[in-house]
Amino acid sequence: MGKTGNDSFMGHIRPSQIRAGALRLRATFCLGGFSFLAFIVLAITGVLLLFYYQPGDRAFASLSELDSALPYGGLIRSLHFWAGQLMVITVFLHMVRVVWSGAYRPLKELNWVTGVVLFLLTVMLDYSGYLLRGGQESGSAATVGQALFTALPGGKALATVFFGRPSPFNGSTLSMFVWHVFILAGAVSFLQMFHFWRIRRGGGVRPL
Amino acid sequence: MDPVESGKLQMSEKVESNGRQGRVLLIELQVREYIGTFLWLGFLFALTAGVKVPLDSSPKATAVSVAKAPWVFGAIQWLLQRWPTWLSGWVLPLLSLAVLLTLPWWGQKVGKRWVWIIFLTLSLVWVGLTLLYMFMG
Repeated sequence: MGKTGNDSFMGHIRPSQIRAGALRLRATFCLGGFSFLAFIVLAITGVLLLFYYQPGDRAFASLSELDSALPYGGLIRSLHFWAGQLMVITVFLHMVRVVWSGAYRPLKELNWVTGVVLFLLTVMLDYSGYLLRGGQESGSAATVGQALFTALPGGKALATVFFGRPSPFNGSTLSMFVWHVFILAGAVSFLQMFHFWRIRRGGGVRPL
Repeated sequence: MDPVESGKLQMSEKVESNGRQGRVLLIELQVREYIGTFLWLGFLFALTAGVKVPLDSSPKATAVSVAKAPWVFGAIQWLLQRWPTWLSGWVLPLLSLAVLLTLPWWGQKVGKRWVWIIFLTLSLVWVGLTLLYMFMG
């Protein structure tokens, strides 16, 4: 089939026809869609924040200036924060819905595993974003995270890989910034595409 | 009202409309997606406008603020205050994660009802601990 047929990427993600049962609200409660929408809002507001945010020692100062000096700076930061919290909640509720409807069963087991990994990555994104705030609270959260790693054999090296070398009062390091903006966000983007592709391949959403 | 069942959408009827297993045009899903998008974005903007997100305490402040973990790690933090790090920070979270990851396979053996009971119990424990940490510290 050509590029405009169902074998093309868009034809696969957005086929011209779908099952009538997929229209029912009870089929999904739109929770997967809401999670993806939160991710889109996070990506847009995240890019806008990147224009002003400075990781490291200037993290807290740059966020304070963003809040007070830039028009709508505080609004963008708040949108980014709330979209992140809502994404964690909607991804979790999406998992609850999937278990309730039995949509983890074969042939959808790979999509379930992808979904669980996406949930884990979403939680890690939330945590790494918290550390980027650069204040006392994020510094304490970074210290707790480091303590978790150092409880493992060889954990000090692992902690350095993930956290860099934050001061006790500032969790925002270049390492955490790279994890948050590139590695974790990139992994979530890639896995989401795979997740959607698998949903369509499995025959779309079936009603409860 | 469900447009498929009410029969108001002419275009769908041209495709096929014979209950849940029938097929309808994508536009009908898109209309619902647009409505959901507007509602969700409206809620997000209302939340953003209504609840201000405070900045952290300044790292240079002399008064050290009481540290609270981000709420997503509230359950682990609650356990860390009571049990050893290796158990509350690694074994229990990784065990829960393993249960979730392997759910499709052990679920086939125990049946859908038990999967739901086990999943719900696990979720309620973690959500409960998170709430305990958030509101009782």
